[in-house]
Amino acid sequence: MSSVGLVKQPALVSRAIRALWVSPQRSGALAAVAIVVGLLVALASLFGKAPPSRSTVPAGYVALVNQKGILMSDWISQVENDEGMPFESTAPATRSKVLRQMIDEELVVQRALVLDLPETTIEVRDILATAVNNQVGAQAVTRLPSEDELRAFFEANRAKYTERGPMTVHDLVLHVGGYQNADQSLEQANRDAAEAVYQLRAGASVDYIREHFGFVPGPEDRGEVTDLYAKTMLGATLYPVALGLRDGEISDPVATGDGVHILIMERHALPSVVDFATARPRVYDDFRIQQSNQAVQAHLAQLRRQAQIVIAPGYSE
Amino acid sequence: MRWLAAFAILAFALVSAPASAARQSVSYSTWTITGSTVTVRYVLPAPEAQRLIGTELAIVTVKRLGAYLLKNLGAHSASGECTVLDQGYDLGLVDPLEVGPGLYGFEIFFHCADPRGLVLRNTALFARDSDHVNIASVFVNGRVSEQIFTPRKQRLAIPDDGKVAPVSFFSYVGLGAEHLLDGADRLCVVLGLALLVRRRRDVAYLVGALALGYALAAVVSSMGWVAPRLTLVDAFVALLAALAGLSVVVRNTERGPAIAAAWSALLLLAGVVCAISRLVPTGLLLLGGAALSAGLLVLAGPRERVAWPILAGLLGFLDGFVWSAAIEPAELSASAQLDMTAGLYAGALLTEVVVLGVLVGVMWLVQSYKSFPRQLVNDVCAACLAGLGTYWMVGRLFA
Repeated sequence: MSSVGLVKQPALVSRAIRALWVSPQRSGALAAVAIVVGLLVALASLFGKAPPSRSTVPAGYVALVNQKGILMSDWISQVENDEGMPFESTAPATRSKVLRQMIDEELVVQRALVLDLPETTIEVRDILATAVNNQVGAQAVTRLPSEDELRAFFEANRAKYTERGPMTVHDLVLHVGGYQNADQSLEQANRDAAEAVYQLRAGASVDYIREHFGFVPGPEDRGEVTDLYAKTMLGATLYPVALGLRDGEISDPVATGDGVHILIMERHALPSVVDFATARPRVYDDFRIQQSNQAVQAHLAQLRRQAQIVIAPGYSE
Repeated sequence: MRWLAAFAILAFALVSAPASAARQSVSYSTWTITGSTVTVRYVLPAPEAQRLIGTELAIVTVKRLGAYLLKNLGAHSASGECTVLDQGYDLGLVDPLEVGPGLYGFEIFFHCADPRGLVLRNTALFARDSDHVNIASVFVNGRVSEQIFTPRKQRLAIPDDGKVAPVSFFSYVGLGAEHLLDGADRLCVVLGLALLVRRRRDVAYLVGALALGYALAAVVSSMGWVAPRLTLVDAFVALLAALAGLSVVVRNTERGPAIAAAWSALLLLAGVVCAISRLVPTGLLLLGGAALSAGLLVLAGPRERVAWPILAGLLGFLDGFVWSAAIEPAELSASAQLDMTAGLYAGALLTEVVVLGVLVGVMWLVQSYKSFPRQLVNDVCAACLAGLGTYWMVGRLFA
């Protein structure tokens, strides 16, 4: 049966086709082809590319340290940063020095990993965690916020941008303890202070209270001060009390480490709300910090989703 | 008889454990003797370390392995057991090293008050692996000699003049022979080849093919272009065992072509499924195996003198490559590597030739007895080979 058809095929091909079609050698020829193809396919699966030679530095790297490469680009950048000039202008001795430093650093980093310092040393763990969070946060702040976003953030956090007015507050303290007040107990001081407050509110003068009960002026009683100064002067315990006092009001006794205090608010200016334009620099910084924190939290949530976390029985996070 | 053969396949498949794989359990050590200090640097492939410690957690592996090596490495001299030096910082007595991907490395320092009569001790892993080998380089006063620690040689005496004789060529030959005898899958391939022998010349062809396979492995591995995927090599050796068994079956039965077609079709189908499932190397192996099986089984009978040497050559080639992959991390000098490779190959080849010769001799001897059920024995052996080989291949590919 001719396989030529309308197209004239080369004689060699037609002879080969005829040989396969009619020849008793067909099975042998096909078997040989099958063996060769099978061998090639099987060997392709059995062997992969050999790992690079341990004594040859691959392209793109300047050195290998225990099979870990130091990138050529990193080395060039390091040289330029250290010398403050283009790489081409640097001296060979300088380049060698930088390479030596980078190799030393790589050795130490590898050493840290072999010793598993990220698992065993708190300082290393802190630095690594901070570095990762900074990296995540830095990526998040590449997008500049719009004016609408900043304005919305300002409106949502108005209290943060309210400027409190100055105040004139007097601090009277009845000391407890110490060699000068050895007989004074805290309970007695509280009772005396309560009586003093009652009398002050009834109209007694400050001088009378000082003379009668033994109160002395606080260490930072300096007349009208700004809100920030008052915060610093009064401390974390007394400042919130002062914030709640209006003109002429007298606080209840407040016990602190050095005794019992009474605050007398002579004058407390009302807080003023700063407008957006004035607060914009602070708003911008705070917004970027929030962006970064949100990115870090989202990243952490993703890590948790991907992780398998098992907590010992009886404990919870 | 067919039912008997089928039962033999089932029985062996059910009771047999996965054959010891082609890969060799190897570790590497470097001993440097300088005055009264002995420094040992021990390197272990990660799979060996994880099998020893029983976990894949790196930190646990490093700590436990370090403690294990401290117990199993040592030096003894005229002044008694050499003391282990504390390396300071918080390293303790065993210093973990960065030695590259897939390897664990450790360094231990010993101090011997009197360095005379020094004996190095290495008992690591031999209790767990009876065929474990430690390839050692011993540096004494700047001179290096290659040594091996085996289950039968766990101590090495260092002469006081520092002239340590390198391990002999015949030690490598012995190692190669032991490695082959420990590998049931390779022995099964040799058994299958023995069953296929009809004439004396066939033995010569098979031996020649084995030698050619080892020679080719030496040439290709020395070029450093390719590296074997050892898990797949193990599976392919199992396939060769199955193929050898099937070749006997195909030759001795009138349904030979049907069996050959069915086996090749099964491999083809499995290969396609694996390739679709993105197990590409496994799929390629099975597809190649299908084509190879079809070709070899078709040649069974009329052109078997061409077919069986291909099996033998493949066995030699793959076994040779396994050794080359095991030696490579030791970073031996070219002459030491050549010496070791030649000895190992010679040992393996010699063992294969001896086993082949003994099996063929026994078969020819017993076939002269008319009462000996030669056909039955052939059928059962072939069926067992086919069953075992298939079982091992599947187990190694998909376990």
